[in-house]
Amino acid sequence: MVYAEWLRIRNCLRGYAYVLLAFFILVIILRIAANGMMDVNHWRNKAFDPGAHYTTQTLSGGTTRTVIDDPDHEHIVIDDHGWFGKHITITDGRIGERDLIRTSNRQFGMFSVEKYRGRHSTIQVVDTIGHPIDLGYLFAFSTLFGLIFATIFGAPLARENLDHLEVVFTKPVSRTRFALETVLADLAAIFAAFVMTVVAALACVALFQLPSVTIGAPGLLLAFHGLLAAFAWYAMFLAISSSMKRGRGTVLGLAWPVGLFVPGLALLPLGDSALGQVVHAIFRGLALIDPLAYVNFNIHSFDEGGVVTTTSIFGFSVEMGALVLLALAIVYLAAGIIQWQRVEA
Amino acid sequence: MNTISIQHLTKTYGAFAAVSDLSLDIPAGTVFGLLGPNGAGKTTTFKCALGMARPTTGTVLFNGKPLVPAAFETIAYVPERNVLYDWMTIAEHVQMTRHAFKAFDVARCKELLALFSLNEKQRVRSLSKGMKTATAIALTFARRAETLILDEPTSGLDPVNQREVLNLIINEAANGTSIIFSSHQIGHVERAAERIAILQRGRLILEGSVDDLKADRKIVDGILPSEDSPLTAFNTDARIARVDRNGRILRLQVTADADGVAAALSAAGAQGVRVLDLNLEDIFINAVSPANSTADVVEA
Repeated sequence: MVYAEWLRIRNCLRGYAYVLLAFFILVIILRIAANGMMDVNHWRNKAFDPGAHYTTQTLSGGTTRTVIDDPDHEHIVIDDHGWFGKHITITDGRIGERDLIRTSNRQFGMFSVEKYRGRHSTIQVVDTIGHPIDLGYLFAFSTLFGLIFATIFGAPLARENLDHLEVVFTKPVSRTRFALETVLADLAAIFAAFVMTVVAALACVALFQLPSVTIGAPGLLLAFHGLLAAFAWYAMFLAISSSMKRGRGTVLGLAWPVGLFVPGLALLPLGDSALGQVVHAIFRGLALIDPLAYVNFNIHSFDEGGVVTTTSIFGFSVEMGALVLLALAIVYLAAGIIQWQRVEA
Repeated sequence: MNTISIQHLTKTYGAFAAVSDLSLDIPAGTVFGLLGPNGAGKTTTFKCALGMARPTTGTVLFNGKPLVPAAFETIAYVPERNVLYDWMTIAEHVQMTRHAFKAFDVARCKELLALFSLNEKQRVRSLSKGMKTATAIALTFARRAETLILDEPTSGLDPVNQREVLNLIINEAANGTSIIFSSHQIGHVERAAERIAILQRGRLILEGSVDDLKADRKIVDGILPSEDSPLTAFNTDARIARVDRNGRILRLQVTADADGVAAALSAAGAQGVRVLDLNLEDIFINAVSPANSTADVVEA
């Protein structure tokens, strides 16, 4: 019964798939370009070049240091920190030169490569992260795209209200069933867009980080939270717009600025004056029903395991935030569908 | 058995009554023409009948029962405006309709699209107004519905396709389909409809079979002896609905006993008295013209 909606979704997701594919191809090109810099063994194998000289020693703290001087006048120091990765310094030219200028700094997932240039030498510093990184941050990243697609698919009933009610209302199904099927199709599409983003990001990240990645329970909870945020955001559009014939674009256009402005103002200290307190209370109240107020990611240092958490401006835990988002999604969906019952062609 | 039975239907928008106390029975298996000037309430009547707008008061029954969503398997509607999805192709509309209605006949639809010279691969946004109407007609007639409700089904079509649509209406009716349609092309209604109703400002002002309405209504005209000849007898004659005078020429529209009125006119000294048949357009214009605005509903 919602063939047109499925068609719209298919077209939209197909376009998105092309964008992701193009992005992935770019990342592959980047990966190939970065291949030389990212190959740690490339530097370690220098020890076995003819004429090379190397020494290995264990430093205090357990770090294994390998120093290689090869016939190409490269001086290579490899500090292997085990779990915490490797730190490699390659000096080409005079050793110990000062007044170096950093010429580039590139991050490729678990690798970072910095280059310095001095008067008599160039230095390349490669750092790797050894321990697995929780990919929860990918879900945080994908949540943004979930929210964007919630906006794209938002207000589907208002879209019908404008020009197609005569088609919709003369189908042999009730309005409630039509609305529910439309909503379910859109939620499935948002989920699909979220998954496509995660998969594409995972594929891109894997090109640089494999195998040092992990997805733990916190990450999965974050994914659930992100999806609920997107669903609630979509449901809010439905509730606002389902009785509208025009103005759908205005709602979708203003939603982001307003949705971000409200929690921002709710957080802002507005002083001790009565007016300030009232305004603060109003915006805090509004923020309670704003799904964006529950999407506040904290990305901890990757050295600590790359844990990502989310909090609301109200200090809710991830679990509590997810519950509130679920409740908001249900209430908004119900409000939108009930309003649509009263729409006339 | 009536396909549609409308009882005391009123639909108001604020203080404005789009339809006012309309009662109408549309017999099964007939072609019923709904006529009226712009804003007469034809489209609102269709929308209320089909549940797309809530009547302020009154009821509408389909085959004796209130309308339920499942009934749309057998009721098809072509709205007066384009409601197709601009971004979809005609073929996608065919698929959409096929998914929605069990009885939809894809082969029949393709035949009809070919009849109107429509290319299925075209997107709706690239179609002209008439082509959009033709697409809607093809989709609707391929549904094999028992009741067709067509709001201005020939709007925007060229004369050739208008004729095709009329033929479709007549052929469907011959197969037992009930068809209710509105049109400003009164000639089309006259050709296809067995019964008509005329609405004006939301009220039913005339209803009956086309043949009966035409049989009852005649023009009697003649040339009076002088421009000062008195008309009192004709102005008060219950058989005469309208009196038009232009100098010595008198034109009477009569609703009954045209021969008797002609005899009376001759007796009054008029020369060249003759009785003429009215066509549906005359009946329509007379019904909705200001002179008849207070006329009661005439049951033929």
